[in-house]
Amino acid sequence: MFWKKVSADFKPHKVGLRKVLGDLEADIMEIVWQKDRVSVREVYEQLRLQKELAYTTVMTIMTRLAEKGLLQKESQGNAYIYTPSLSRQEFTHTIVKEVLDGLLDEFAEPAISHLVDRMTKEDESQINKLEALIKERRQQGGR
Amino acid sequence: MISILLQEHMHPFIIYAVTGTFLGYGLVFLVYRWLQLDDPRLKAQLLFLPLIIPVTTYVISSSFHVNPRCLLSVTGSTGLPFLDRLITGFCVVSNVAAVILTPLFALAVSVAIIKAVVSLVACRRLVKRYGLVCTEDYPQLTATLRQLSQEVGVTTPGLIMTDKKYAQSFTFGFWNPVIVLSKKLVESLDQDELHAVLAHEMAHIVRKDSLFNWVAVFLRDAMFFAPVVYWGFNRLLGEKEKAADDITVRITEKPLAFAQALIKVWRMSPKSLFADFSLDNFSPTPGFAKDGIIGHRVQRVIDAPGVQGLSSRAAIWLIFGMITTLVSILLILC
Repeated sequence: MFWKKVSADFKPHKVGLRKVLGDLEADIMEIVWQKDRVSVREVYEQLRLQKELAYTTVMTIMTRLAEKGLLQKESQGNAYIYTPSLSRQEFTHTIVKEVLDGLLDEFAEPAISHLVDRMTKEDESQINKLEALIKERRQQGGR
Repeated sequence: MISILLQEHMHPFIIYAVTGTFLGYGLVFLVYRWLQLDDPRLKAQLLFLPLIIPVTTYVISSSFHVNPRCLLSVTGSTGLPFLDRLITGFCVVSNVAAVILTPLFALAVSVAIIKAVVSLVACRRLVKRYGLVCTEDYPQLTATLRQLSQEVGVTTPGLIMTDKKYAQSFTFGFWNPVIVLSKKLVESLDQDELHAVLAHEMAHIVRKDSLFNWVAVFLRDAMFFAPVVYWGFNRLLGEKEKAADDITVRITEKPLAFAQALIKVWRMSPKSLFADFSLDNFSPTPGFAKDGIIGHRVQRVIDAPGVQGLSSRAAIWLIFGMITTLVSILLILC
């Protein structure tokens, strides 16, 4: 059910994970998926190489991601170790399903119609690319 | 009379068609996955089986009154309660379906027969209207055709040039094949592309695709009520085209020219499903998802995959195994 919370913040004009996560949330999730098991300190150290931010900000965001169900945390000594609840692929798959289901529940006809249009256009653009490739290779003497 | 028609004819036919196509395509799908098949020739042969087996099993079982289920035991029980319940369930559903579908079926079979006959007549009319191309009119084209015929070892087919404003490129005729091209298409292709298009049609002749298409369209139309038939039929058309593509590339050794020709034919093809409806049995149109096929074919031709097929013996055993499995299941079911 926590996916409802994540996809509820869907921002169609943003890029990549930022469509459903905040900028810092997306950066943190990328690091967690890359390392698999991380502490707040490790994430903070890595993020600090790219931008100025406070340790407490990273901790707050990671706590929020855990509350959303995207991260799992386990206590290890004085610190918490965070692991992703889902792989990156599972996450994107679930988000796409959630967003599409939401659209199809409310606007089935226009949503399907647009998907079909889009698929046809994709095919046309794919064929245009193939045609350009064929022309290029034939100009180079290919048969 | 109506009761006999429903109980003895429609009831088993519906069961054979729905179950046979469903199980048949399921088996084909499993075989694809299991053997990682990428040989379109064998794939097309396998995809044809779920179309032909239900109808032939029905014809044979009804002609010879074969009913192995009754032969298994006097009570007609298989000895497996689950299977018995499944078979009884099928019987109840198909009885209801038989009542509903009989009028539709009569109509659909009539349409299928009419379509099959009309396509033969339409082809004869094409010959009568346009006549076969003479060597004097198209010397280079006819010379290419003769050369290709010698290469693949078949009699030189006839050639018809139509004045359609869109791309026409197909072959008809079971014993004396004729290639049909539209002038508009010929004018839009360069020499290499035209060579490739002719080679592609020659590949269809070598594979006897006209006959198989004609039969497959008839079977699809006759089993109109079986939902997976349309999926399987589209896949069958796709694999047949890919098998012919492979032969074309092998004969011409001009994959780029052929890929370009495929795109040109696609661009110039009529977008309406009914543009050449009278010729549907010879030049069938996939019912849906038509647009994804051409990109895939072009990509495949450019990539020039090395097709790894099964040995002939393994392929024959595979086909035999599928036929035996499907026929046995159908005869046990009804």
